[in-house]
Amino acid sequence: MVSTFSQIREVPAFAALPTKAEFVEQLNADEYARRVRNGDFDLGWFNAAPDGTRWGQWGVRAQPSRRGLTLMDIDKASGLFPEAFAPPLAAPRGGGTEREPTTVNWGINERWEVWAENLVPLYEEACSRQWSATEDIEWSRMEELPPDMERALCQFNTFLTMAEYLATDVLASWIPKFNTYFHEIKLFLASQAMDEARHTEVFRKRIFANGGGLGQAINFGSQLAQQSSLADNILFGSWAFTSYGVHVVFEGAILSMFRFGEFLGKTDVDKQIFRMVMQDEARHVAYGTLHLKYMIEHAPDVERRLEELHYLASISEMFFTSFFFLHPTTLEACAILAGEGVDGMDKGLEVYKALYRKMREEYLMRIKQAGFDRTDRCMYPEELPI
Amino acid sequence: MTSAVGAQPLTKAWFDDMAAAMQADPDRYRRLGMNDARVGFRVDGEDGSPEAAILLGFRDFECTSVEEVDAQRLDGPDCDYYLAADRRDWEDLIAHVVEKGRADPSHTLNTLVLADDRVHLRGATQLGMDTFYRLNASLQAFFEECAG
Ligand SMILES: [Fe+2]
Ligand SMILES: [Fe+2]
Repeated sequence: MVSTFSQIREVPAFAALPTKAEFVEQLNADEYARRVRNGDFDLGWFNAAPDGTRWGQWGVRAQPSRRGLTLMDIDKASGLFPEAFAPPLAAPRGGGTEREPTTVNWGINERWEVWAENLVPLYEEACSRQWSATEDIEWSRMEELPPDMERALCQFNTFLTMAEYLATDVLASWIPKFNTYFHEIKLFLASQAMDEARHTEVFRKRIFANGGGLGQAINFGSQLAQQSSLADNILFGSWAFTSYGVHVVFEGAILSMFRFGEFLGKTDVDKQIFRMVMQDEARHVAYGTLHLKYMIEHAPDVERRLEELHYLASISEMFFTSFFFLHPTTLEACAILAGEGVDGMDKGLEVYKALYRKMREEYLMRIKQAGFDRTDRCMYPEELPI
Repeated sequence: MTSAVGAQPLTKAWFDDMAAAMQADPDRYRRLGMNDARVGFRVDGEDGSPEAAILLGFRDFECTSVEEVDAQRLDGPDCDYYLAADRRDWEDLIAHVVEKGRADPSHTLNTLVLADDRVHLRGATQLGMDTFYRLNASLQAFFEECAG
């Protein structure tokens, strides 16, 4: 076969390519092309025994469950559950390969680095519970809000719009690092990227749907975007750190904010929006929590890793408290919404403080149940100093 | 009080009626998405002690089981999370949903649970309780079946 890619890779970038006529001549001279012209097919893949060498298995007939045919159904039928170590190949798990398979230097090749007991059903759940920001929100039921409430909600949603970019940008960049053997994590993160895209979309739509407009972007976004672009960044330096920082700390707090958004919503439209994003966010948190648990139970040298994770967790918690919970736009927008107007901000602030306590309590409980106890080390203060 | 699904509210028969109503509207629940959860409802007396407990099994797009259980079972591994409230608060909430045809913004389950004064979210684990958030639209739709 003509190995066009390897030919191109062997020449310096932007060196002259063959003319089309020269290329066709090369193809003509190719051994395999010559054999096919003579009716002599290879059929190596076709005749291969289903022993996992050149062909995977044969005769597998997965039965759909009531919901349809799930990944759980095909894993059960094929028995192709992931082993602890993945081969250095770009191949689907359980398939055959060419005689001399090209090896790939994936960044992440071990099951403990990616797995969570709920990963496969969560991906199925993600697919099943997709929704449309265009069609599934009853936009025609939008109701006028008092101007200060609309302004506060637009500010809250401006922050959220921005937070959603960050989640997509940071997480999606990890997809190419996972060995294809663990397709589940790639699929789950792709579904999460879609979720985050829809969240950006729905918050942006809401901002422009009721007489308001975009508010002030806060530095939180730029700080994190800057951090993620640094080669030696701490927050996103490994998948364990990234997943903890994003899925557990960041999205755990955002989940609380979405619950709060639903709680604060004064119209059916706002209730629907926050109910739907809350569901997606809880799925992201569920992966992060059970991935943390799996890592703690299966990673080598776990004590050292946990110490590193405590360090990262402290940084993330401090970052989040300073740049988010105590930021005037977050705090004041929430206080206005909870107090039903600027005049009710004092009352609203008490509600905000209660939400913060709840967020902290749920976060600590989640990670403790995953095997990571930060009760005595958590940098989130018990109370916001306000 | 009455509820549009017929049976006496908060009894097993009432939840059976709600499960039947859910089954009668497969397109709606399929649109909301798969919903695998074990959800409890606890009805407390005036002194706060449990009077009744129901454990619902949701599978795919349906409610597949309705069981009267000992209230303690809701705190164990058979249940992802449960909602607990005084009988009077449950009855007020049901009456409201029946009257309006759906929960208005101040009566959605998440709103009531976050306020944590009348309806409480409980469960053995945080991840179990997080299921309430993850599958919330399905539960809200199920609960609003009481409006008929
Ligand atoms: Fe999101
Ligand atoms: Fe998310």
